Amino acid sequence: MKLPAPRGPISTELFEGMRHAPGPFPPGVGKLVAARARSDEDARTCEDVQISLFVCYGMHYGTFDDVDERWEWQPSLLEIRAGLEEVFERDFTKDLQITAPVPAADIPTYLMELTSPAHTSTLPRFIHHTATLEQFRELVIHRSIDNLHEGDAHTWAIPRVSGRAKSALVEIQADEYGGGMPGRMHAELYAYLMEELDLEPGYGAYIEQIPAIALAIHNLKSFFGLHRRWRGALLGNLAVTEIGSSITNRKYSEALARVGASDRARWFYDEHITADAVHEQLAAHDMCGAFAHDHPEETVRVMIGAAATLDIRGMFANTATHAWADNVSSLRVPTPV
Amino acid sequence: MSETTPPVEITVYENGPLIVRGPYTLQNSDRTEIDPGRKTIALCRCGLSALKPLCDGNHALRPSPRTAN
Repeated sequence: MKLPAPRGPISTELFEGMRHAPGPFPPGVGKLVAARARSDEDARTCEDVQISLFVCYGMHYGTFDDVDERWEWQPSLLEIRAGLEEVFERDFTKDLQITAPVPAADIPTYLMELTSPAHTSTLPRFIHHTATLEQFRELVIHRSIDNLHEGDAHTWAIPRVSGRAKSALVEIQADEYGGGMPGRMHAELYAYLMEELDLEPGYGAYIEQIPAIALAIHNLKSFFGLHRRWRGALLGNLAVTEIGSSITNRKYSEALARVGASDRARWFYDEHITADAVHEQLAAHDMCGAFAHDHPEETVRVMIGAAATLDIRGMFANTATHAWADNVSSLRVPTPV
Repeated sequence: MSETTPPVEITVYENGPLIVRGPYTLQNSDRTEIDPGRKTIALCRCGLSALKPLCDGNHALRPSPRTAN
């Protein structure tokens, strides 16, 4: 994909600079980031911060055709990214009710309770019973930026963990990539879903319509994945993605059947019903449980990763379901900056 | 089975399914094979799965053991 349109002053300067060979940014950019750090506006819903982070992280995935790939490790870009991550971290940790780490042995139960159906968002229920085909297509667009890269950020955890946790992680990841069978990677199943719903499956095709809070779901994963010190949070993020997922995916699959979508469209969700029934056990007990046992000092990071992920997903769910309750589109309407 | 072939391994998860790994065969009572579509599988042991014998995560819909009577 090409660089997206900027959404505020920071992304305007950043993207303009990235159209040229790697080098320093004008000093004004650092000042803009410093000013952003003094603002109280929630970075999770800030279009300028999230699109900027998306582009910074995109360099590590190879997302952009029109940017010199040497920008990936360009110190000036890394410095800007660090400033943006500071406000992102401030805001994704600010509402967490984590006062003390639970004992390592209680981590599986903690994760299961955090994700129990009683606590899950209204989104799966709305999609299951009420969503129109058009609203389902909006959901697929929102989630495309993350699901077309399914598994990738979590792969960054593999070299950073060891023992039982690593075996469990690799077993989960092998499934995410289709067990080695071409055409069966979960990201590919998502592309089939998009095709069946007459959507363009090319990565980033809908970037301008995807709001900050949907980008934040993906950016959080990339943030955890690119910082070794956040490896526990990356595992927590993966765990709450897997736990309870079978039930949600069945609702989505049944919703697609209700609105008349094909079996090929439902494949992505159907695959997750049985896959995630295995993954949730591995993720909670063998991966996070073993990691917490081996690194009790990092247990709190697992908890932060899990809780921050659920917070952002909950904010996304509220935004989408409120828009649909008002009978308006949940997609972003691009505005010139 | 040679000494180098790993055994079938069945792990019981608390309030969850049985996870089965290794060279197992999953079959119906008439010995027709069930293709689970993956190597490692979860077998339902709560009876609530809509995809029995495979687990579909429905055990989470039961009342929590901590709050159940």
